[in-house]
Amino acid sequence: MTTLVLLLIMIGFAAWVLAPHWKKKGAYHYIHFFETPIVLQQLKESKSLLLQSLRELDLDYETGKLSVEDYKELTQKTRAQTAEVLLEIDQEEEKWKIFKQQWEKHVHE
Amino acid sequence: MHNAGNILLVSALISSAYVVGASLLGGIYRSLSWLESARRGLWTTSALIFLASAVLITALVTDQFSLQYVYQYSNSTMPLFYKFAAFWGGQNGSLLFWVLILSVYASLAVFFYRFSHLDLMPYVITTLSILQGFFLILLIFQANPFDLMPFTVVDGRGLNPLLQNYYMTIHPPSLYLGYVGMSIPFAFAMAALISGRLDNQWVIIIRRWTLTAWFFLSLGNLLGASWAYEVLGWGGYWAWDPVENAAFMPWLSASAFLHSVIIQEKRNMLKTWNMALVILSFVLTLTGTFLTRSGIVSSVHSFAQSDIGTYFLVFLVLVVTVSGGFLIYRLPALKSKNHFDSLLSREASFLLNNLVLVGAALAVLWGTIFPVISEAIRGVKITVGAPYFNKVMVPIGLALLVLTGIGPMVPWKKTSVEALKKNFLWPVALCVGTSIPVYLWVSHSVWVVLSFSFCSFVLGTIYLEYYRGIKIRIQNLKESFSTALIRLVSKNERRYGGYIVHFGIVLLFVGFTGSAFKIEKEIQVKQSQAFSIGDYTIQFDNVVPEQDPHKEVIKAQFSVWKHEKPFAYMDAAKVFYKSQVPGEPAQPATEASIRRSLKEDLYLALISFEPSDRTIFIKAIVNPLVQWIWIGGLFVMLGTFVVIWPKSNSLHPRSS
Repeated sequence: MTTLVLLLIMIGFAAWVLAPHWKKKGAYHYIHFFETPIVLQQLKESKSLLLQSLRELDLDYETGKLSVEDYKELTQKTRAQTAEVLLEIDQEEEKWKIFKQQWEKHVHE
Repeated sequence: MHNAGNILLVSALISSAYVVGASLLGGIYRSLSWLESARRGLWTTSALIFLASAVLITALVTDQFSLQYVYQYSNSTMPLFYKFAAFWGGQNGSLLFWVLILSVYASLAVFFYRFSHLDLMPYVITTLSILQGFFLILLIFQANPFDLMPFTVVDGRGLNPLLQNYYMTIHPPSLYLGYVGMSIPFAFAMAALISGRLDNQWVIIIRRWTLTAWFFLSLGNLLGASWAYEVLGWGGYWAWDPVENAAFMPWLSASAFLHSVIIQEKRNMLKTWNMALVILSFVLTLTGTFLTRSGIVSSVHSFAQSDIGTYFLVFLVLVVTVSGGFLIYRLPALKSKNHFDSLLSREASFLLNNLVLVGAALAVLWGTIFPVISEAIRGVKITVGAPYFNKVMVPIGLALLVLTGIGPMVPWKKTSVEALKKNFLWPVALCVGTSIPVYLWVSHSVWVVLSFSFCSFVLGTIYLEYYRGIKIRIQNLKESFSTALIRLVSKNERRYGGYIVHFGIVLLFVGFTGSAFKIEKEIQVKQSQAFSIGDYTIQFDNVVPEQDPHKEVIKAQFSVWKHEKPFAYMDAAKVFYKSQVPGEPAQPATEASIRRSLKEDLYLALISFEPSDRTIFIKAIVNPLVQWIWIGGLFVMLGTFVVIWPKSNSLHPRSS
């Protein structure tokens, strides 16, 4: 009896595991993983880290760990990096918007 | 039970094999259908392992002594929670428990990232399924908890008496959660290496998983130390036993990673080093397990002497070869464009801290495997005990302690000598101010003076960090002290949570240093006779026997005076756990009596009792400052908790 119950459980699990292969194309079919959001995600992570670095530079300066010269130099450098990343984010978001429109058009066709 | 358990284990192995193939196809062909199937397969494997564990627990709780494992580690008179704890009390059950925890971790990771990191997840699933498969192979072919007894028995032998303690229900699970938790960072590291996605994505994901594993490793080690202190009857909390070292080594390497990962996040540096540290932490968990379960090094823990060591060794070699191979293959892509701006920077001090932590891990590894190496080279097994570890680890520990204070006081990228002077003036003054009275009135030992001085130095730096941060918030934002404190920590939880951990580490060092003043006496006393130790006079009053169906207890009662004033009544006991198997002798265990205070503990352990002349042999110890270890441990836990606590959007970011 136990063996039979276990067998039924196994069949249920097997069907559930294999189900993605039988679904209609579109839901679980071969697609190229979206590269654009990955790049975008990285850029957003960089942005958040740079903003955090700026906050820490402020804190380090206010707590007397950095001299005025060092603080100015490092803040300037980090701000320039942040500006570059923000520009790249804008460009990637635009690219992604176009890609999404093309993809949706492709799926509807 | 035998059939059900085996069917479930074999099915789980088949499922994990399928998942390895499906996830690889998902990754190679970038197929979402294969990836989804692999994901479901991993959850299926985990569910089957959960069911197999449920079968074993049911067998233990319902006294199914037809199973060898139940016969070996349980009996009908054991309280219910010990029957439950017997699940991880023996080797075969603990391996099933191990793969169960791995399955929980793996299922959670796959669930959290089901909509994100699609480029990494196929290989994360592959790695985790290979790990599940390895443990399932062990369970099915070498350490099967569902094996039947060759003959009929009416009752079991019962759990080892040393394990019949409430710590048994919390210490092994904590330690296993720590050990097994290292598998998730390793899986993401392997996925990054295989897929070639070597940017900061994988380190950002695994930081919280590594912290969780580190939290449980810290908790497990502390609980183990506390258990040893209370139960083993030798009055210490750490014996440098191979099993303790096995848990300590990955803790050290993970501590190094948790510091160096910040450098990768902030400066995009040390990518190769971080990858190597994650692999090392995982390899050290496997090495520790191999060393202690193969029987090649002896341990006070009971898992030694079995054939599973060969399996672990083969798997260990495979893991090192494959991960090392991928690491070398990806070296060009791991090279960092940034470099250290100055030696006077936080990243430089973090790197130094890393080198010392990894050095400490390797020193512990060397001491642990030295008996094996000495036997291979000279044919004689030479065991290096506490003297080696204390000699090597005390200077390393003190170097780490002082770096704990230096790192946070130095800013990123670079600083000036003037700024350094300004920042370190008060902590250094405090350090020197402590060293003089300690040397004059407490101890002439260099290590003791350095330890207390460095502790005060680190405390000074932590105080300054909080003081300055709060002061700025009060000045700039007009906040009250309590609001400023709470917001300072909640808005910079990694930094200020980390300082809470550092504060805990300082308290741990205060406790460790106390052992330099330990007073120990082993003495034979007759009834009504008294003896002195430290400030205490202890009189042996009486011996009281107690009995229940499960055990016999001999309790020695003492009256204690401190500075000639009545101080306490204490009972130290010897417990004899009855075996339910006819002819087998009762198994003894010690229940020490401990009178605790922040200054010192008075510790009494009954070694033996001679009924003919009512004489006892007793171990008495005065253990200064030991309570600070447990208090420090609580702060380490609290600080880690603050750092781990997720921000609203950081647990499972979606990629689109």
